Amino acid sequence: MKKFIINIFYFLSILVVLNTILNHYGNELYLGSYKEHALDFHSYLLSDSRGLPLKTHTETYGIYNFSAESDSYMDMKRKLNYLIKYTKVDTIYLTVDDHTLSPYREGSNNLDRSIYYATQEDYPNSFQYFKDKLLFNIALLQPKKRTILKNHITSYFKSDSNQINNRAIKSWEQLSEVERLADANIRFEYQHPDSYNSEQLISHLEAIIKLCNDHNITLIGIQYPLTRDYLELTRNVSHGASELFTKKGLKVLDYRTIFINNNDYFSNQDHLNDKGGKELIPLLFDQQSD
Amino acid sequence: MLFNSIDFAVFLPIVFILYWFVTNKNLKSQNLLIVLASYLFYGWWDWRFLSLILTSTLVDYFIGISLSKQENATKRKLLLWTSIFVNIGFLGFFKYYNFFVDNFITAFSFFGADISVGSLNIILPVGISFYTFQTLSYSIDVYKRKLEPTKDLIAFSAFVSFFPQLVAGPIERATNLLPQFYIKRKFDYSKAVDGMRQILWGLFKKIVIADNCAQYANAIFNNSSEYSGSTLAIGALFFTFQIYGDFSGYSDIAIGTSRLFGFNLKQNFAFPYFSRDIAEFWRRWHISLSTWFRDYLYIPLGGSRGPVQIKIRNVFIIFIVSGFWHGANWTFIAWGALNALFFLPLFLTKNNRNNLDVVAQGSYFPSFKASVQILLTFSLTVFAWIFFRAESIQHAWSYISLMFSKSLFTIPEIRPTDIIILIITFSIVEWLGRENKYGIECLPANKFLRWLIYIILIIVIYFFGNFSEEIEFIYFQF
Repeated sequence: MKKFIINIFYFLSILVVLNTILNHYGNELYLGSYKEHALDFHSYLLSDSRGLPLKTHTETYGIYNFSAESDSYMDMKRKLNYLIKYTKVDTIYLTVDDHTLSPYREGSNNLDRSIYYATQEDYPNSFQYFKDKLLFNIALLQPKKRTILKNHITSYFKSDSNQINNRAIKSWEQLSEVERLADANIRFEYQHPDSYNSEQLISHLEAIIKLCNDHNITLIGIQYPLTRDYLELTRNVSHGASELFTKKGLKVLDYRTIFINNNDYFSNQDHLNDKGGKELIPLLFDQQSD
Repeated sequence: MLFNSIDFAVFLPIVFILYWFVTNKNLKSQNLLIVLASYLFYGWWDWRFLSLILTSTLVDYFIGISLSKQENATKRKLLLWTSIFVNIGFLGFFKYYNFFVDNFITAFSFFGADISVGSLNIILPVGISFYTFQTLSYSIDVYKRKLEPTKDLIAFSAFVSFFPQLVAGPIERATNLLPQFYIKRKFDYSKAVDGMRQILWGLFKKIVIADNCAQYANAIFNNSSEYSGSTLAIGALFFTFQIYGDFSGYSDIAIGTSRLFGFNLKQNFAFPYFSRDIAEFWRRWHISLSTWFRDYLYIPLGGSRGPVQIKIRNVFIIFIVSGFWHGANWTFIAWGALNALFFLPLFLTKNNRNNLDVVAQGSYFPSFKASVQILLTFSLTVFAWIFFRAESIQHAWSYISLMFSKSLFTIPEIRPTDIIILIITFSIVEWLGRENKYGIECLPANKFLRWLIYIILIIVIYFFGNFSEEIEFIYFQF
């Protein structure tokens, strides 16, 4: 038995080394820029991909752009708890766009990645917290890390020359009216599959509001600019994040209509491009400085 | 609890530690631990059906004791029939009730009579076909005085519910497994290492081969009308490897796990796809079930003795019942009947015991004759699996007619290169290990090389395994 246990120990040690290597590269690929953050700011911008075109230009105004593609309120709450724990945060700019409480966000989010920022405060008990943190670091049990590593390795052997899509390289302003409308419709259907609001996301948004309130953090909502096509579709549809802010007496910066005549500011129907991002920043934050 | 789940990865070491370090001083406590662990293992899926295992255990335990005390032939027969009635009754109700009801209604309506018998929404308890056959074999063996009945209820409960083989076999005979619960198990290093190796190979078969093939086999079989003949042929091939990887993988994990606890289970698969005729295939496929039917059905029916028509009848009965054992659907019956048709020419010409040895023993390559025989037998097997996998007989026929259309000679729409390479590599490893009990039983003596193979296997499972979801073992539904 002793020999068996020693061999099992050695074998597990090899697995641990293997796991460490896979985890290291898996994290590099899977988390990538997601784990990049700064702790020396007092103001943070929390958004999904709509906040990304603002890039690091926000730092001119002392605001760290902590946005990430597909972040939901569940991910943002984790980030907020993390900021409360490790920074002297006093202001949070939070996206309150039309889709942020849509049920599609319950499935399309970064919950697997934002565990990186999770603190004990995000969990009902310590066991669940340590279990999730442990599982996150066992690459052998993380299918997403495995898929990303595998795709990365196989990409060396596969030519992607046939994947070039002429349609994809057209900018928003180069699209015809019909193409724009079609794209906007597809996006709308994706983001608004049902008319009801996600209870799960509402509870997380309410928790964010409460957290900010409990820690004397000023919370400001942002509604990002939209193209005319997309605005038309969403004009009468909102899942209520901005309304919830208003109801709670919180400020909402509504910039949805500001660029409706500037198709050259957009990369697609609901995302600014670099140029649009740069244009928006002074409009957003000059007003706050005043 | 699935073998390929995190739950089992936590469960197994805990039971192992308790077994060898806490209860190792006392045989009864070790057996009791096995019973409790087995009930937990089964109850993890659905605790309500533990009552069936418990009932089956108690009925056969007390019938066994009564049989030993009873000398009156009629009363002994009555006791045996009680055991058969209870066990087959469970199986009949949970597995076949709706099938018989539906077919009676269809038959009556064919003759113009409309009858109304409600079918029930019955959940099939996992593993019921396996443990009922195991307990039945105990009662029959005691009845035939081949086995002394046990008075140790805990040992008997452990025999019936032994978690490694509880839900999908191998179906162990009481004569082999039960006595192992009477003697104190000693930890055997080489046995435990061999068990671990077999578990690893089983996981590879299940997660890499079976679950990847399942993905394509399901896509092709579920939309068979949309694909060309060549793709349908690929689909049948994928299912052929899926069912083998799935079921033999399960058996490998079950046997390997048992060895960790000091038990020896029967070999359930002996490289069946390298068989040179259908008779050899059936000596190598699901051995524990084939031998069960041989000993408890075929031989009592007269076996190969008697006039030709009786021999043919017996062959058809055993194959059809074997097919029906797999599920309440005409497709399984057709699969059984088809195998009977494949087997009969060999049987009637007394060529069914030609290939009792391992093919190309001591050689790397088979002879030309053996290669042709293997290819032919494999093709017949693949063909028969179409009936096994199809949703209905009509589906099987349309699949076959589309497969053998002109488009059989076109380039298949689905041809996943990585999976095909994995299947070929797997087949080569199995071929090289065909003289052993499982593919990687005999590895190089050099420890470094052996460990390197284990690590490579783990990396292959990690990168090529199908983890999209924990896919249940096919035989859980039987």
